[in-house]
Amino acid sequence: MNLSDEFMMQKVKEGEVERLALLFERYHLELYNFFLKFSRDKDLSSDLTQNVFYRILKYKNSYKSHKKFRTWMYMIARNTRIDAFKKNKISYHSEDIESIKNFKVDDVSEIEERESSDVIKKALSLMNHEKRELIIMSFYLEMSTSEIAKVLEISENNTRVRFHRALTDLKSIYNKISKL
Amino acid sequence: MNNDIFEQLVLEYLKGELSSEEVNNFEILIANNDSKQQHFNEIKTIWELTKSEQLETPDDSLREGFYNMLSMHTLEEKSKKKTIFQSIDAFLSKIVQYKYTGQMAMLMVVAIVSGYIGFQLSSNTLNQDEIVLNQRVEKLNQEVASLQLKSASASDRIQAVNNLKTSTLKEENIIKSLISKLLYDDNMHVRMAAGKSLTLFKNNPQVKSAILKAVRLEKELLVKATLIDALIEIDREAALKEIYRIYDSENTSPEMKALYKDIVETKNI
Repeated sequence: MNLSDEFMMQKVKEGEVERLALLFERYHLELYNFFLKFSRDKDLSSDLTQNVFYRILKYKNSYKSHKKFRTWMYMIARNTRIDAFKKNKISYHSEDIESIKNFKVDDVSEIEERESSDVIKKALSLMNHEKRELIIMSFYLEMSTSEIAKVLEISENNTRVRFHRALTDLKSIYNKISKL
Repeated sequence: MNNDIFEQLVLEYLKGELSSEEVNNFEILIANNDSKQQHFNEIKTIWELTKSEQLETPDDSLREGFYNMLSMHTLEEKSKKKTIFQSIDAFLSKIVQYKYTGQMAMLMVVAIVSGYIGFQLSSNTLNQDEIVLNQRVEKLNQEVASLQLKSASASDRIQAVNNLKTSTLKEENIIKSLISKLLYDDNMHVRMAAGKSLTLFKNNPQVKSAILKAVRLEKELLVKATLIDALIEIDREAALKEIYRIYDSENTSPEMKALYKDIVETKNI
């Protein structure tokens, strides 16, 4: 029995829309956490996750069966996030250094009590969202350079360079927070 | 080697995507270069920290919202089909107006097509659509759950067991799958996750007897302790009887006895 993502999506495209339920069950948790890492807002992340599946149905005819479904889905997810952030004028910590400088003493003591994984979460939240997106895709979603390049619609070389900058930023913020 | 290329190599190494030869070459590379070794360690630390984070679970409204949307979409698709039928009807009626010869024959065709359309409209009621959709979704969900539970990867199976808790499958199917994992899975973490999940259905008599059976069969101390905890939650008295039964048995090892003693003291039973 063929239960691959691509086969299921092709069937959705052909009109068997209930098969989207299977793709929802496979990916909603991952997508929800993808949005959560950007917004840290559970309700917004739920809405955006549902919106991705709504768009998949809406634009099902534009899906090409030779494309990897997950990559196509994250292209939609990325656009969904950008649209929502523009619409709601959400801006997440675009000035990293300023954010660290303004880091409250209460937050520091709170962080000291927590595990290092909380520090990495905090460091991630202080990155600008384009760089954060690269870290999430590489580390959390374990996407390859080629997959990320397709989602971002840029070359693989460009992806590598951008990832290097993002990683340098993350390490720098992480080290600063750890020393606070 | 540029830093950006090295970083991709590190990630591929950490993800286990390199061949054994590439792994050897990579390990030689970092062993002979302090700066690369340091760079690798930094990325590895971040990698391990991100892997230690648990995925957060959305509340039920996301799933409900999705299935409502899917139902609505399916109904919309059906109503579009009705519009096509209506268009055919209108088109045929128009033709009839301009036919001078064979008008009666055309009217008969219209009557047959209209009758067919009427039958389609009355038999495809919205409720039937919903029932069929729900049945198909349930079947698909069963296929997905069954596929995930049979995965070769233990972490996938643990994820599948955890997904079952919030699954839209029928309760009897969820319980059946969890019991099967609890009793027969090779991996102790999968059995443990299944045991924990089963406590959500503690009023089901099958659950109690399955956990009791698993406690007796289980060899791993950690899983045994988890199952005893689950049993205490389901039926305190039965749990106590079981603890004493095992405690008194000659076959019970000293480690096991210590574990049971600890459980009795911690749980104050």
